[in-house]
Amino acid sequence: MKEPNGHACSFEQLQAFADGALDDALTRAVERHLADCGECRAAVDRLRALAAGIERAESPDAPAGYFDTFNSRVASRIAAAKRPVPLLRKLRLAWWGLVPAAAAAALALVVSLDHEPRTAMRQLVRIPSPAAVKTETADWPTPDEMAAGGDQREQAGTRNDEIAAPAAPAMTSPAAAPPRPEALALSGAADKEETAGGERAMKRAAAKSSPAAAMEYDRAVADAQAAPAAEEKSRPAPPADTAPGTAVAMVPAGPAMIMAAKDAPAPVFEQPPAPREVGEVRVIVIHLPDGASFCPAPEIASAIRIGLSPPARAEARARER
Amino acid sequence: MSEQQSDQQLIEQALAGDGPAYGRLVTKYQRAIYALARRMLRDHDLADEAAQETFVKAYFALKQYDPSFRFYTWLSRIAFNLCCDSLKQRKRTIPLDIAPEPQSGDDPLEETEQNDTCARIRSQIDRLPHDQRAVLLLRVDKELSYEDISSVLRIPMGTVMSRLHRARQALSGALKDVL
Repeated sequence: MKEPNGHACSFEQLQAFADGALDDALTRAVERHLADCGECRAAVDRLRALAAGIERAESPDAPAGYFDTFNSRVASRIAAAKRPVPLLRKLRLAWWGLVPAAAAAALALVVSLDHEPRTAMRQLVRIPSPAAVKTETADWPTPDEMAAGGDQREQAGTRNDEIAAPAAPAMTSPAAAPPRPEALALSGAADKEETAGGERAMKRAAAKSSPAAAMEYDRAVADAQAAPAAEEKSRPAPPADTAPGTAVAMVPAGPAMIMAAKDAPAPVFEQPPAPREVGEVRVIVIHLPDGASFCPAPEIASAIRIGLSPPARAEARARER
Repeated sequence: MSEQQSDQQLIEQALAGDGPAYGRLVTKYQRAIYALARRMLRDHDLADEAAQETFVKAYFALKQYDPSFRFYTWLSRIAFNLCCDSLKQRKRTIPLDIAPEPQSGDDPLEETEQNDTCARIRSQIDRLPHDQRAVLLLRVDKELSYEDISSVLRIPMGTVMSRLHRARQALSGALKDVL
């Protein structure tokens, strides 16, 4: 039977023959045909010459020594891909995981506020210290093999450094970074706030216009309210049990929280449950009568706000604006 | 022990947590995957990136590997897709020739002619339609059968043969004077 090209073998069969891709039976059939057909023999020769030319042209060599380190470079990339994301990023990405814990913490705070509404309350967001974070490392290669590749080690070191200081820039401990002056002034003038009414707006305007003006204003207010301030000072300071590696988040409290305390349902529990993502969580709350916030982790503040009743949440938003 | 059995064993070991077993697979196929990427991308740095990424992707997708395919075919498919992505992303114009590799030979004139011929062949290959070029370049690798190429490109084997045929016809016509 003839193929469309007028021969016993199609061009594609000849091509497969030249490529050695035919099975034994077809190979023998093509060989029989080639013995009698010079035209197909020439076609096969051309195909083989073309294939050889292409192979010659398309066999690029890698630079010398390229493959000596290829394996370790791949291993390094795999190890880097397996390494956990820095803690801060993880917190930011997975803040939804904090919501239940934060809501619980907010409830607990609400209860405490109900008992002692004008006392500055302090709890801590405790995040495991970097050393305690279990670092997942690549199984392959073994540590010895990793050590063999200098550049990989360097790369891994950089990543480890990122893990080593995850929370420092965004979260500050009270000792390391005291609250901003305007915030302190506001908490010092807590008692006056309820009677001063419209002064709050003026104070906020002053704080916005310049911190120095706000401080000056607050100093005058503090002088006028020396007695209540002294009373506040005489109260024992909250325990500063910040351990090394402990990150602290300042979360706004204030009228919104107090309001929530009044509207809050009966307490379900007194201690917030351990969150799933970051271990033990406590939340610092500075009593800020006018709701001014300097919380360095807005996502945590937002999460806590979920625990508020809708009117309190709306008011908190309005205050932020 | 056949190649497929050997690969399968290494894969099973790697999946069971024996990391260096995967390292042996990398060592086994690194040259072929790099060559594939280099042919497709015509650039060492891009090929290096694609080759490394191929093994990284394969490592994390090892559980999804279907043992009914050869491991090398599976790797080639990952590499080929990465190369296509790289070409698309960088919107890179493929240079018509890559730097000629130094050839061992005594006659500089012969060397130059040979390099010219190779450059011309590559130039003609790069002028082929993308689908034909892909089939032709995959076929340069003797390890990839027609069936493997059809798996890599996810096209029927008949299509592989017809594209290869058209590509070779075009090249034969264009390179008649040198081949």
